[in-house]
Amino acid sequence: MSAERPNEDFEADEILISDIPRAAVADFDLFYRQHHAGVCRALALTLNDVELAQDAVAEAMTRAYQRWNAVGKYQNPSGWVYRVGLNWARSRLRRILRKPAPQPVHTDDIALGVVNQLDAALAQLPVGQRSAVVLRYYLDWSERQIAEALNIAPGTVKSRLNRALNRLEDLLEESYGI
Amino acid sequence: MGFEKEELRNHLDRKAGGIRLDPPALRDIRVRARRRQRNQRLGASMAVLAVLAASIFGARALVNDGETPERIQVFDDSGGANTPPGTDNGNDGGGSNAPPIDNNHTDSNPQPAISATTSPRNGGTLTDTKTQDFQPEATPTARPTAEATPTARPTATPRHDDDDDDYDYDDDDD
Repeated sequence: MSAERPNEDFEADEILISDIPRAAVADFDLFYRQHHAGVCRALALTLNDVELAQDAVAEAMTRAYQRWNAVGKYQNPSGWVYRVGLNWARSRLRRILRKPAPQPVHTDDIALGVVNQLDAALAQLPVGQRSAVVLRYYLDWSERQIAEALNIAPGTVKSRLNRALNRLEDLLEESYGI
Repeated sequence: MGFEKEELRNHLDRKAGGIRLDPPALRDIRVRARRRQRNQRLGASMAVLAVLAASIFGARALVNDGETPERIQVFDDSGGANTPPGTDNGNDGGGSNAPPIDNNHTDSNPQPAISATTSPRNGGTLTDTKTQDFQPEATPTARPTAEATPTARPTATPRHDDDDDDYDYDDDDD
């Protein structure tokens, strides 16, 4: 029967994960539910590619789960997941030699011109600067948290944010012809 | 500044809110992680086995290599007057009781303008000074066999390795 095969797989998987300590599972489950969506959206904004971001977060979460004894003790485990996901995505992008295609913008009730210009300007930032902007202004992380997540010095975060904002301003001024 | 940070924040919020996510089930993450761990352990075990197998078979191949014993030659320079005849394996110190060494060097292994002076080191009396002009036409055709190899090596002589093929006969073009 064709229905038997999935059940067999399911049982085999149950055996596979049966020896994981319950406490560790519960801890990771909570983290996953609370942070998966946020990190995934932040990566999607950074990479301009939702699909790639989802793959990257799935990969990073898998690695986090494998090392949860250590990662779970970090001050900001989602920062670790973000960095691992970003690095994974970038190396994958390098491998397949393709650039992230800009996603269609959801424009519901936003002035079309402003959103598109801002989107276009964001897309022109280097990934390092875009990461800093997304983590600061979307996830509302402090500069210290961003520094830990990206494994860079706090001063570097500050300078990246400054440069990013200046660049965005320049780009918007250019596009508006101010 | 031409735009407000709040504007940027709102833009990112709205854009992120429009992203439809299809997150994998938590159970899938667990299964994937466990499978990977299991495969990693399996891979590590296979790597250890491969190293062991390589070391075992490598050692056996070395033992079975017929040339290996011949490569190991001990040049005993300490031989002197008491060197018994016929036991000189690469003994450079031919003395008064030195074995009958073929010092004529009539082998087909010419050397370029070498003044080969074989002198005893340890009080021996053998003195064999011989100058042999290099003849580029005389290409070495056959290497002396192990038995016919002159065991008395000239001292202070540019080493002419056994590997004749690597020797650079620059005069070939003349």
